[in-house]
Amino acid sequence: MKFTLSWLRDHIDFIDCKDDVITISETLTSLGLEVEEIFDPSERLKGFKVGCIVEYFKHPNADKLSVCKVDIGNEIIEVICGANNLIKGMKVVFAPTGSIIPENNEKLKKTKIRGVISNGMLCSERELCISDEHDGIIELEKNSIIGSEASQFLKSMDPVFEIAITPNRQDCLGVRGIARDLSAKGLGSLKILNINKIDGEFESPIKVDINDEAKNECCVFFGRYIKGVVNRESPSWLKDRLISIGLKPISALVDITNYITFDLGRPLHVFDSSKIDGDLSIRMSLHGEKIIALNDKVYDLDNSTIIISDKKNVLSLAGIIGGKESGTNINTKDIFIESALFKPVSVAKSGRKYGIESDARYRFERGVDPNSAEIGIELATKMVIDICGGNPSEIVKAGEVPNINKEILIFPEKINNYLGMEISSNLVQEILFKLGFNVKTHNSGFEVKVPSWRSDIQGEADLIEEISRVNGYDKIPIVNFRGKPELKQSKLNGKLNIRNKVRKVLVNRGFNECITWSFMRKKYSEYYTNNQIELLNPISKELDVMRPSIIPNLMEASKRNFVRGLNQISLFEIGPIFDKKLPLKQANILTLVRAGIKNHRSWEKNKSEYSVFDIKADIVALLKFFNFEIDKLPIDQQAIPWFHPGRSAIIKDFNNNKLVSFGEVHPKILEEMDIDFPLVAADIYLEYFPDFVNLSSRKPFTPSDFPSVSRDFSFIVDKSVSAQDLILPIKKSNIAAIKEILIFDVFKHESIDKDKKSIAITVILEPSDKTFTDSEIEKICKKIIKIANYSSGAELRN
Amino acid sequence: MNELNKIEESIVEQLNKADTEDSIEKIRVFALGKKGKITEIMRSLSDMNIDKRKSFGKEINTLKLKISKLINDKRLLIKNINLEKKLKSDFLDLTLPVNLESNGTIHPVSQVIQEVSLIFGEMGFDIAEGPDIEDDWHNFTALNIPPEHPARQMHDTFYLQKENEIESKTSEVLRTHTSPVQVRTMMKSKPPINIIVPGRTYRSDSDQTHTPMFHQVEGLVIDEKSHMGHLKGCLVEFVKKFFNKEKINYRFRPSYFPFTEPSAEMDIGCIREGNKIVLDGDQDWLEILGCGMVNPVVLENCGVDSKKYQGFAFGMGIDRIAMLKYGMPDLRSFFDSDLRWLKHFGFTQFDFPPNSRKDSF
Repeated sequence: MKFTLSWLRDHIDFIDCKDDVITISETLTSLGLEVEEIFDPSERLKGFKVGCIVEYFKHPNADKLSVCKVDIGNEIIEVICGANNLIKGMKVVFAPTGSIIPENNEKLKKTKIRGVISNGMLCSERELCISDEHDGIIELEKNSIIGSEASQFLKSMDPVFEIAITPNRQDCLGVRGIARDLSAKGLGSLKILNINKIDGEFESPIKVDINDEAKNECCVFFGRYIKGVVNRESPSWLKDRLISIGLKPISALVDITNYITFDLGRPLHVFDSSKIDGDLSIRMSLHGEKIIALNDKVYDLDNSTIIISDKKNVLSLAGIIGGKESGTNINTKDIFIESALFKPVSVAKSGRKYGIESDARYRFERGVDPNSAEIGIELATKMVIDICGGNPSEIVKAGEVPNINKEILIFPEKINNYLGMEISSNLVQEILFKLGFNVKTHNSGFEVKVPSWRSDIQGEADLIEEISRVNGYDKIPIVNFRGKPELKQSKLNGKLNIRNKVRKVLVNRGFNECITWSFMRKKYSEYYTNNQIELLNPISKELDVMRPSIIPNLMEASKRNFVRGLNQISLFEIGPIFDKKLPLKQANILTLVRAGIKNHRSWEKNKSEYSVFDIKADIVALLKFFNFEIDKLPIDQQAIPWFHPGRSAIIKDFNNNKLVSFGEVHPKILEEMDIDFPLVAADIYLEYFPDFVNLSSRKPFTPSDFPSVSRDFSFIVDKSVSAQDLILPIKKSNIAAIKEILIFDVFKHESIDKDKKSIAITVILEPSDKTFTDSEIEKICKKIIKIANYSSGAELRN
Repeated sequence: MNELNKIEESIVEQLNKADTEDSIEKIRVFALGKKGKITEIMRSLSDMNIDKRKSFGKEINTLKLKISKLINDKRLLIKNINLEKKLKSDFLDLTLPVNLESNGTIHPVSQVIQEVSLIFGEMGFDIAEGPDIEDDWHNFTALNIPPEHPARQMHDTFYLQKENEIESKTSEVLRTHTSPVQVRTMMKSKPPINIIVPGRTYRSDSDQTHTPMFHQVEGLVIDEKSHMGHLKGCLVEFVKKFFNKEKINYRFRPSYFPFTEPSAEMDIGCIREGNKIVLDGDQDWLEILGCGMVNPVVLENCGVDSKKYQGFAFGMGIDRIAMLKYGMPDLRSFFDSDLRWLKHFGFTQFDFPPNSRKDSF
């Protein structure tokens, strides 16, 4: 919302010294009318002085230039000027050297022009950015005081304010509402709005009817016929007002409606009555009807839009935009003025439906003051007659102005409890009164009648805000706050603990945490689910579904890095994945990706790339930090569709909950995503991770005092037998002495049957109470061989 | 020259020639071993008469000690020479570069969520979370934003495709703010409520300063007595601790949110130097959060008795305050996963704060 200082003065008598731009601006912001920008044209003309041309003569070396002797108050100096409107004794705007010329933002230098020094410049309107006028220099009024600031004597020096209006403050979408707030805050007194009823001279030839169906959408309609107007260019005061707030003057009839929209927040419409066929009807549109609106666009209407029509045509989308056909133009002679009240929801709906933004819609959907409908028609009539002449009819009216009689009870105690401070009863009454509320004492509290323009005020809390913002939020005390003294270890705290511990473990292992969109490309989601959740209005085609997996996002991130030459990639993300089949349609998971080069070639080692065993190492490390008995958790090497079928696996906990799935990304997916470097990934389901590890109840510490021994076994097994098949049964056996089992060799060789392979292990044994005897060791070894043979058909190699 | 002299001479000669520890050991065996020359002579002592034994015994003992010492000295000498040689050949060029196991980084958003959680945790707030996919009611209606309310338009909501006709009654959205978690919390637990809600939020907006996904943290206090003064106290304390400044200029400015009444925005004083913002002075103001007393309409919508209970709520952009605190200029790079950016602005595990002081033990 834009307005100028002089416009504000139409509605408020400022107290002396409270009408400067800074005071007004700070007050507006403190009231919740946040000032976004102030444009004070005089600001950039500081130092520009009123001068008087004492005499001038032709430049000795240039035909088109003159040398002027200019009186600037304390001295008379020489200035070169190219203008052809010079007159002796003329008052001019003088820019001294060093000033910045608004037109080009350049600093004026003392220059020698064809041998004569110029000590400044005499300015045109264009050079000062006042208008496009550049035919000659500005001639100031004769009474301008030589040597004083030129801006005082220039037109169009009115400061412009631009403020943000929150959706609840429709009343401040008119300058008067803003003035009212300022007066409540003590900057001045609100002027009385004098609206005189104008008597009609004849009965309006056009009648208005609100159709039954439309009565829910339109409360009241005031109309007036004015015959014999002369539409013309608006007077300059009106044009200047509109220009100053960025509106384009069109013609007096249109400008008047725009002016009242911004002055009182009261939208109006003017029809050319010669283009109205019969009476007006406010009704719901019929399917197939259309309107060419004032914005030159054609709208095909559905059967539920509130419109204004005559006998034949739709003339206006009610409360939003008028029709082009029935609008006024410079030849318009007879008019019909509309000042109506449409329901916010109804206007918001049709505005959204047809995608039309207009000043009228903006106001109606926020709730226009019902009482302004009648004021609007009277003010518009007066302005039309004043500017364009004509004879007014009697007012035609349909519907009724809704009787808003909202009363709210409020008690000082409640105000104090809400604000944490006391505000005196007198102050409460004074503030509310100045804002237009009617306040009566009622028992220990007040009975407050809400003015018609404040439809946002619904209850006590709203009144407390009014009192508090006018009194000043800065007066609210700062009170130390403490919530619950004891924080309980909630389930969620546990979850957060897990995530944070995960972060630390992974960062320690060299991973970089990243955050990628919760969206992804539908095509990529199809590798992961058939139950993806699609967006109705995605931001782009590449981000059109909710991600069912984080892996593709991290793959794309890896690719972006790879392209930038960063080829050593370890990324993780903790975040949501989405699927229709999930509870609440989402789950939080951890995804890891290692991609590209693990070790660059160095003097120590050859170059190596990340393999699936690197990501397995990360997983094992992570699971160990969460006290999983990783040695005993089975690794199920089942095919996962988005991983390489032979190079992926699932790890479950003892309750059969999936903890991890990991592997090399399927080569087909790599190809489709155009990734040509190795990439391994893991999904880790943190919900089954233990949250609080009780550090004070760990297992007792029982180190053995006796030396451990190790024995090697070289087994021959079927090719299909996995390392886990061989080892897990031994680990799970009841041989307490087994401390650790290491695999030191896995190979196939000609010397072995081609369906077999060799797995060589070292078993480390640790006695608990005495040194092992040879026969005891022998016994354990036999047992190990027996278990291996029994569970995986392993034979000891010769 | 007697026999002893000859033996001594022979041993000394051998020792002089010896240059390995092995050859020394051979000499020792030759002289002092079980069958060594000196050992044999000593053994023959027992055959001598007492006087001869006495004098010869003394002589031979002296010789034994002398030879032992010579052998040991020579052995030590050779050992030292050998060590010298080994040390020379062991030389390594320690200027060669080493291969560091690189440490990773925690994302600034995680870091800031953790910092915020710690500060509010100490003020007595619990953490709550909620789903990213919300229904219309939780995201808007319950928060006093009815269907045609102008505030809805300001939200640039992402809508989800409806699965079937039965579902079509309530439309599903990506939450536009973390506030629906307020609703969920009030509906399932009784006051007093003190929660903060960090999380992902979504608006269909994308330009220099907006991303379709961003992070917010929400705060909610519901009890019988918390008022605007507490709200101010709570947020001023937060801002000072978060930005680590004892003195910070701030102002609370009336504003409007459908779910709070009175509503305010908190600005902090700053100086803008080009694109850089320095938190100092009060020449210029930077809006950092929205807040207010919970609107009684919202309390009633969530089944809380607004006659008995009141409280405050606030919400701020995590990414925004992170940018401000750590001088990160561009919001979009938060979600780009550029390793150079992650390594530059990320945090190590050692800088990462605990959930709250209580949780760290």
